[in-house]
Amino acid sequence: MPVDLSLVQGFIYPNEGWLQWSFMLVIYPYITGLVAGAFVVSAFYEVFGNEHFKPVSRLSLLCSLGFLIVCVLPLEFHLTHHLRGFEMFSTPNPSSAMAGFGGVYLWYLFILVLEIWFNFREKIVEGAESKKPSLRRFVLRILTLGSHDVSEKAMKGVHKVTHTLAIIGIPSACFLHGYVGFIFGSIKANHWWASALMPFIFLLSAVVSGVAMMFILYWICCVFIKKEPMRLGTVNAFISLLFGFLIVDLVFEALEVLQIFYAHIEATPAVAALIRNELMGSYVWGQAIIGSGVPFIILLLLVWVLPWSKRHLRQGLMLIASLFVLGSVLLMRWNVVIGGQELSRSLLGTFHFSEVFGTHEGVGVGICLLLLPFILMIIFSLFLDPWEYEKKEVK
Amino acid sequence: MSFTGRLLLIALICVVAYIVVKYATEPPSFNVYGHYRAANLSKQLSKETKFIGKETCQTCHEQEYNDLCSTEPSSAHRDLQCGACHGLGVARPKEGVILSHGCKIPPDVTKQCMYCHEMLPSKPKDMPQITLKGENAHFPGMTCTICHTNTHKPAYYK
Repeated sequence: MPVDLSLVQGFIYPNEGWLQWSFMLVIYPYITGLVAGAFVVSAFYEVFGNEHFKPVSRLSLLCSLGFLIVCVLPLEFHLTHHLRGFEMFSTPNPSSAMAGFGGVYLWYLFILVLEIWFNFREKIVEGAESKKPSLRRFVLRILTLGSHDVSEKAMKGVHKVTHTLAIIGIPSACFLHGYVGFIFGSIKANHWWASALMPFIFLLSAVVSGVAMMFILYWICCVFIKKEPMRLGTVNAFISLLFGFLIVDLVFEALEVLQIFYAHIEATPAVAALIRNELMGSYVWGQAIIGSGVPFIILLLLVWVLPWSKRHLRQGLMLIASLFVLGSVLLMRWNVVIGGQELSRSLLGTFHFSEVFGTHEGVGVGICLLLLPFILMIIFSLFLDPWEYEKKEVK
Repeated sequence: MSFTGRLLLIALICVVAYIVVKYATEPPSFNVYGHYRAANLSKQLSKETKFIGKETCQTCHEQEYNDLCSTEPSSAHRDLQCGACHGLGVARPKEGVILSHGCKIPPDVTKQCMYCHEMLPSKPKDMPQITLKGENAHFPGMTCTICHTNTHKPAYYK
């Protein structure tokens, strides 16, 4: 494929005339971030006992599982030989950071599946003992592993394990996504990536996007599925959580850019040119001004100016803020993954990347992959009822 | 057996299955020299060189090639490949297709020249070296190509 010189500004090396990582690698950290974010929302009830998050706690777990199953699919689509993806399990390489993700992923999958299994144990047995034969009963009977013991003594142990798994799950979920940031931040040759703050900004933006997504799901469930009003306490808890994490996230993102400009002094003009030429729309306007500024102002209004406002106004404004946050985090992944490759290693030029829609790595497949976790979540919800739930106290 | 016991049994089966699959699917020559398939080395060695040299550039850029390879004393760059300044090109030799083309020189051509010609004590004495700063500065502020008009035969001969 010849290099299209009209896309080149200044000087680039010949092997930089096309991008190795495209849209699939943009949505891969995005989906992984939603996994971690959704789990953190669940942990606020499971571990810290915040009652306001009770309505979304179990839904968050199922959502996290849906996204976790899908999060490796973008990588599979990116590979030319799809079966090679399994080689990181068959020939694990301890010196490869990329291959290490396989281990981190498997560990978190293990913790999450166990957490869901223990958490829904009562529901599973209840469904398995249903009188009416159905596919749901058949699947739930398999999930009981042949034991229908829900005695008080057995359940006491189950609750203890659930609580322990939720505690282990928090660092595991954070590590899963921090690890993605660590992979990018460790690439010393790329001045747009090489920052020790990269794991933190990935993790914080993951939590922010997860909180925003769970609020939107909660809104959809209340308005369209359960047809009941949203709880004001839950809406307020979401507002506080999103605002808190958004502030810390924005501070770290600003610090990261400052650190790149100061620590990589030889690359400062090149990085500035990258932002000016290639990332002006997606980074400056999309991610920073509109994507982060608008939700920040909305949340500031809700917390500071309008704390007395009515539920409808609060949930409406919070919904708008959440949508902006989700878009902003997707743009953040874009700016990191695509922006880093658009900057030439020669530091003398940039290459403009134009996205395609139709290929196996295109935007079309990406949109399908972004919708797939929600479909999985709906399927899980049909088997495991995530609505009625009362956490048992763990002594 | 309690349900936790059954769960542990499933976990044990998964671990055993993983070990069996891992050793069944591992290529025979894996880990002989390192974390890769040793048989892949001979496969890679049998492939043709992919990077294109200046002879390929000659097919379209005859004049530049002649200037570069001329035996005149001014043609000091004659031992260089085009890719040294223009970046490497990649080709599929059997099909005669150029996959990627060397890219243009940056607008600040002096910077490009200085990659090789900046004065450094460690460089060989017969290598033309200049500095753009200090007392011995070589026409500071001027672009190299004002005097060395033909960069393929760069000695001063205007």
